[in-house]
Amino acid sequence: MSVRHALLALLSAGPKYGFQLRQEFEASTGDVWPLNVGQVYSTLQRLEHSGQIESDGSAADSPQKSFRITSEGRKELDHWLRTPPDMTSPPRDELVIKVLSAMRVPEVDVRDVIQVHRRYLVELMQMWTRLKEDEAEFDLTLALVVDAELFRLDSVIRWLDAADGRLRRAVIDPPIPSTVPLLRRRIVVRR
Amino acid sequence: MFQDFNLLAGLTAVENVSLPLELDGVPAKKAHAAGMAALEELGLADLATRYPDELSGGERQRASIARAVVGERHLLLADEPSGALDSTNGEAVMRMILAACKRGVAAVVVTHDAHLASWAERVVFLRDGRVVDQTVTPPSPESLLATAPKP
Repeated sequence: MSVRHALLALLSAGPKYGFQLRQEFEASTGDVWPLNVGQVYSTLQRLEHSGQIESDGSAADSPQKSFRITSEGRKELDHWLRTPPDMTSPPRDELVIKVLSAMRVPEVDVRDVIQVHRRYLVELMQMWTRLKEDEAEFDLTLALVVDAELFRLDSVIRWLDAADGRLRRAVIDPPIPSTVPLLRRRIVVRR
Repeated sequence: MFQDFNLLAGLTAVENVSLPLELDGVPAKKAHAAGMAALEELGLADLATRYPDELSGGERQRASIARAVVGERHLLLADEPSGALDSTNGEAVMRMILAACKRGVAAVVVTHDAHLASWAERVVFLRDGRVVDQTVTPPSPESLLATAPKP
């Protein structure tokens, strides 16, 4: 999560005070990302140092100090908005590693391990979905954040479902050694 | 609630939806009003006088859902109720089922979709045709926000 760019986005609508930025940051993320005051001010300092924002020059920690975005800052913000985050490298997903490891442990049924995680993830999805129930109080920002969480969790559950299906069909054998380097070569990602 | 909708081709959407009420002996006028209300809830009020073959797949599905939830039922069985629907309409269906539950209806939904399942109070997991697990009642959403990741 780039606090720096989120603050630039807030300032793009007009000059603001530090305390105001903190409030608006939390509101703009559906109140799910609390931010402490120190973090706001240290980030603002860095932005000012790099010429992406300007202040009115009052004392550094004064709550009355106001900030505005510079043209440099606007350029940086636009560039950031349009740059895809790095999703290319296969993440070292802890859950994937747990499932792969479970396949190697003789006394563990890997499908039971999968079910433990599946249940946990569905329970998490239930909690997020409950936030949707009261549609009247459900603002747009929160709706987008909740959807993002639900789709993220859902994608993991889908993977677990697919893994469970594969395991049902396959007899778990140690991998044939020659296929391992081949697979590794295939999923190498250029940086 | 049927996966392949089972709407009667010779009846309009609203006639399809109010049919179960009429079969229960509800007067035609009252049944029609209840049918219209159910269609309206699923955003189909404008299409009430169309026949099933004049509706899209998703609209047919919503009409069949309206038919299932209309009237005073005690039990609602739904097999993949949001199969042909986009996520917005899928959510509308689950809200409708949830509203029925709040009126005292028991609903059993069978689905592969975790989004749908997460609307339920209790999720029971089947594996190879057997019940293997179920969720425990989740704590309130507030506790979720308290543990949300820091930026």
